[in-house]
Amino acid sequence: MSDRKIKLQIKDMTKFYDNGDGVAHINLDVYEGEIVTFLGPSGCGKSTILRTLGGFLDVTEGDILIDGQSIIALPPEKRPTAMVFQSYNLWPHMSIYENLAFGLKLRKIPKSTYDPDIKKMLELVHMSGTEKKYPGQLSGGQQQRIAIARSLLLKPSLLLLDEPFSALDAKIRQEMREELKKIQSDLGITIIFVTHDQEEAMALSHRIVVMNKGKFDQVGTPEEIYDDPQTLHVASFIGEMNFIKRDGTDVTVAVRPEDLTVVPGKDKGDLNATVRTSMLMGHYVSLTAQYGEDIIKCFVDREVSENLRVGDDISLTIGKHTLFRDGSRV
Amino acid sequence: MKFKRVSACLLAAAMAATLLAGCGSSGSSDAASTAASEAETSAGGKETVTLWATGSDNVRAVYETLIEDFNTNSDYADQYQVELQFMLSGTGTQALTDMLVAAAKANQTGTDYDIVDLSGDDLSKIVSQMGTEYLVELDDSKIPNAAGVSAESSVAPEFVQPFRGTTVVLAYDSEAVETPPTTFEELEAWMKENPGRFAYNQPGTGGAGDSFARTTVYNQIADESAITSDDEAWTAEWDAGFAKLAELNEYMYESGGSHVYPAKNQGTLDLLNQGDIDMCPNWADMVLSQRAAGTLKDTIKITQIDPSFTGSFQTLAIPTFGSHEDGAYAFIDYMLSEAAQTILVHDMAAIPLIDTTNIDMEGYEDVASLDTSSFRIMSIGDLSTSFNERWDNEIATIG
Amino acid sequence: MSKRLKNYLAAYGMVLPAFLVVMLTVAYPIISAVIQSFRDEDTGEFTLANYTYFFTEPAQVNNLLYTLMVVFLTVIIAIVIAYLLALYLRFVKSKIAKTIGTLYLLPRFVPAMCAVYAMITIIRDSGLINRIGQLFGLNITLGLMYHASGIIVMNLWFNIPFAAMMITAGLGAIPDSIIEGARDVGAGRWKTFTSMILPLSLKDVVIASTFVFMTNVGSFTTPYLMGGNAPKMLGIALYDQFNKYLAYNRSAALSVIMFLICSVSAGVYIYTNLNEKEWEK
Repeated sequence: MSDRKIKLQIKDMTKFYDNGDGVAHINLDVYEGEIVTFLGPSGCGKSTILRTLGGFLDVTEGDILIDGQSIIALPPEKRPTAMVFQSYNLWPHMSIYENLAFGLKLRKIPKSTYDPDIKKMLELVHMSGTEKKYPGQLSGGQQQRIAIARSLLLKPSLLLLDEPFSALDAKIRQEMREELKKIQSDLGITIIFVTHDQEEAMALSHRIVVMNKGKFDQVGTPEEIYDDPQTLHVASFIGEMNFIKRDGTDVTVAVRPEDLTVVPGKDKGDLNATVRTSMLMGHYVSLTAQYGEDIIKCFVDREVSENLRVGDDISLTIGKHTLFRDGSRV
Repeated sequence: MKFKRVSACLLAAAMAATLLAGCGSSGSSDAASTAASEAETSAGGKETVTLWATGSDNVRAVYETLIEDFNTNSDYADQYQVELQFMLSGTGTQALTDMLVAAAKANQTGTDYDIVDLSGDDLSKIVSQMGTEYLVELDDSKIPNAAGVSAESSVAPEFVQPFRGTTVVLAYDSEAVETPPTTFEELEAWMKENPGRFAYNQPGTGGAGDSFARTTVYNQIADESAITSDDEAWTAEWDAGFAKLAELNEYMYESGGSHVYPAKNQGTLDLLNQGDIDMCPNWADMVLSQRAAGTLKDTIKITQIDPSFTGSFQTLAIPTFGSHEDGAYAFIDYMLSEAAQTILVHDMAAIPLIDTTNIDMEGYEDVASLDTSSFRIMSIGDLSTSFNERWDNEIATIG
Repeated sequence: MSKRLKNYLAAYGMVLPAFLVVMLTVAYPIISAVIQSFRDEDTGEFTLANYTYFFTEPAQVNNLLYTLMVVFLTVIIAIVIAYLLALYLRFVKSKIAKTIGTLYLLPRFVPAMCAVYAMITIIRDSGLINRIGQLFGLNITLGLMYHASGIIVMNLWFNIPFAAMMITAGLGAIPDSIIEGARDVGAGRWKTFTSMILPLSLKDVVIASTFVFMTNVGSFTTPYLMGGNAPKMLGIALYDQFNKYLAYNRSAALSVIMFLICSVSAGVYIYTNLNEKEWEK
C-alpha cells in the first residue's frame, strides 16, 4: 500500500468552537482515488472535520495538506476541494446550466470548452435535457445529482460530501450511492464522505473512520470495522451485535447474529436458552432467544428453524467473537 | 395567485391613498353644532354654558383655570357652569369659523355656541362672511365690569368684548444688544450692521412674523387706515413694502447657505434663546411667560419700536343662535373681574385691560409697561391669504 | 357550480369587507379630491388651471423638483446604508453585531416629533456638535438646518431602520449553503455578493425602496421643522395651499399630483410582487 500516493494529510488537527466543542488531535492520511467515510452519530465532529477541509472553518491547531501543500491559510474559493452540501445547495435563481457553468466561468474557461463538458457531465448523472430548468423545478434527488455534477465539473482534487443523500427517500438514496460509486471509479477521484448511516458507509467506502465524541474510534476497511471492531461503540454502531456478559467476570462477549450456531435441546453448546420469537427474513430466519435476562438474536437456516417452536430449549454455540472490558478490546 | 393580486392592489392603493385622505375634508363640519341644548342643566340645577375657543395649548390651559375659577369661586358660580370646547390651532384652524358660518347659513337656532372666543383674522372673516347680524349686540348694562375697560376691537366693536391684550414686540438678548432700537429705521440700521443676527418667522406660520412683514409693508403706505381694511385695492400699494422686505433679506439669519425664515413664532424664539440670533419680533406674552417659566434665558428682554408692531385684543362674542345668552354675559363679565385678569396676567403674561392697582404685577412689570391705548391693531381679513402667498413667492424664494 | 368557481367566490368573499372599507374611507375621498381638482375655485367649472399652476409657476416647479431630489437621495442613501447594515447583521456573528441587531429598530419607536427636535439640537449651527467642537477650539457649523441636507439626514434616521428590517428579512432567507457553495466553486467575497446575495435579495431592496419613496414624498414634520423657506417639499407646499392660501381646489390638484408620483412607486411595488421570475414559481 505504501506506493500509493497520499492525497490528503490531516496532521494533529484541532478545531475548537467558542463553546468548547470540537475535535482534537486528528491525524489521517487519505490516498488518491479512495473513498473515506466519516461515520458517527450527530454531534460527533465528522462535519466539523469536513468543513475545515473545505475552508468553511478555521483550524485551531495543526495542519491540512493536499498533495503535500498546506491549505489551511486558503479561503474556500482557493482550495482544490469541492463540496456537496446536505440540501439547498443549488443556486435557486440560476438555471441548471448556469449553476453548472458558474464555477467554470470563474476559472475563465471558454464556453467552447466547458459546454461539451457540461453536456457530458449531465449525461453522466442522467440529467440530460434539464439545462434550462431551475432547481425549484427538480426533485430532491435530481438536485443532488446536479450538485454532484457541479462539483465534479471543477475537477477537484478532493470531493467533499456532507450527508448529501440524507434528505432523500430510501430507494433514491440507494441509487445515488451506486451511481456515486460508479462515477468515482470511472473518474478515479478522491472522496471524503460524511454520514451517520452505517449502511451507506459500508456500501460506499474503501475505508471508514468511525467517530465518537470528537475522537476517532477506529479507522479501517468496512470488513475490518465489521469483523474486528476495536471498541464497544464501534461494535454497537456497525451492524447487528449481541453483547453477552460472561458470568463472574466484567468481560462482555460481542458476537454477531450470524456467528451463533443454534441446535435444538439443552447442553449442546456454550449457552442454554429458549426460543422467544422467530421471523422469516427470506432465505434465512431471524430468531431471538431468551438467555436469562438477555435477549440474543441469531440468524439460522430455514431447515433448523422449521423444527423449533416458541418456548423450545436450544443450545447456542459462539463462533467468531470479540471480547471487551470497559468499552475496549481485551 | 389571483387572490394575491387583488390583495396586493388593495394594499398598494391604501398606502398611496392615505396621502389624499387627509385633504378632502374642508368645509363641512357642522356635526357639533346641530345638537341643540335646550334646557340642559347640570346636577346642581345650574345652567350649562358652552364656550368655544381655538388657539395653542397654553390658551387651553388658561381657559381651564379660568373656567374652574368661574364655576367654583365667582359671583355666578351658583347659577352657571361653563364648559369648554377647545380646538387646538394647527389641527384645522379654519374649523371654528367655518362651523359658525355653516350654522348661521343653515339658520340654526338653540345651538350650544353660547360664547365664542373670536379675534383677529377669525373675527374679520366671520364678519365678512356672515355679517354682524348673527352676533348679539352687547348690552353694557349686563357687563358691569366693562365700565373700566377702554380697549375696543377695531372690527365690530359693538358686538365683541375685549378681555385681554397682546402685542408683538421686539425680543432681544440684552447681552448682545446694549441699546435696542426704538424706531423701525434704527432697527433697519442695526440689521445692516449685524447681518445674520435677526430673524422673523415665515408669515402664515405665526403671528409675530405676520406682524413684522405686514407692518414693514404697511409702514410704506401713508394712509394708516389701510391696516384695518380688507379692500382688495390695497394690494396694489404693497410693492414698496415688499421691495423693503426683499432688501432686508440679505441681513436675515443664514443657515445651510441661504437666508432662513423659521416656521412658527417658537422657531425664532428658539434661535434667540440658543444665541443663533440676537433679535426677533415675537409675542410679548410668549416671551414673558416662557421667561417666567425658565425656558428662556433671563437676558432676553422685550421692547417696542415706533411705529409699533401690531397688537391685538382677544375678544368674546355671543352668537344669536346660541342658547344661554344670560350665562354668556355672566362669563364675559367674569372675564373682566380682577380675579380673572390676575389669572390671565400670571398664567400667560397677557396684558390686562382693567385698572391694575389691585392686580399683583410683580414679575410682570414688562407687561404693565405695554400701553394698550397705543395698540396698533391690524385686520386685513382675507388679504392676509394673498399677502402670505406673495411673501412665499417673492421673499422666501430669494434664498 | 364548479370547484374552481367556488374557490374564486370564497377568495373574493374574504377580500370583500376590506375592499368595502377601502372604498368608503379611501376611494371616496380620492374621487372627490380628483373631481375638486378639476374645478375652478370660484365658478366650479371644469378647468385644468389647478394643474398647470404647479407645472408653470417657477416656485412650484422648483418645489416639485426639490421634492424629487430629496426623496431620491433619501432612497438611495438609505437603501445603501440599510443594505450594508443588513449585510453586517446577517454575516457578522459577533457580540457587537448581535447588540446592533436588537437595537437598530429603536429609532422606529421614538415619536417623529421628538426625533426631529432631538436631531435639531444636535446638528444646528449652535448645537451639540458645535459645542463639542468649541471644546477643541473649532467652530463647526454644519449648515444642515433649513437645508435639504438636514432633511435628508433626518429622513435617514427614520428610514434606515425600516429598510434594514426589510432587507435583513430578505437576507435571512438566503441559506448559508448557497453562499458557501459559491465560495466553494471559487467565487470570492465580491463575486459571491454580486452573483448570489444581491440577485437573491434584489426584490426586497426594490420593495424597501418603494416604501421609503412613498413615505417620503408626502413627508411633513421634518421639512416643516428643518426645511428652508424655498423651495419646499410638496407636503409643505400642500399645507400652504390648504391652510395658508385656503386654495382648496389647488390643494386637491397637488394631492392628485403627489398621488400620481406615489403611484409610480406603487406600480413598481406591485410589478415586483406579481411578476415572479421563472425561478420563483
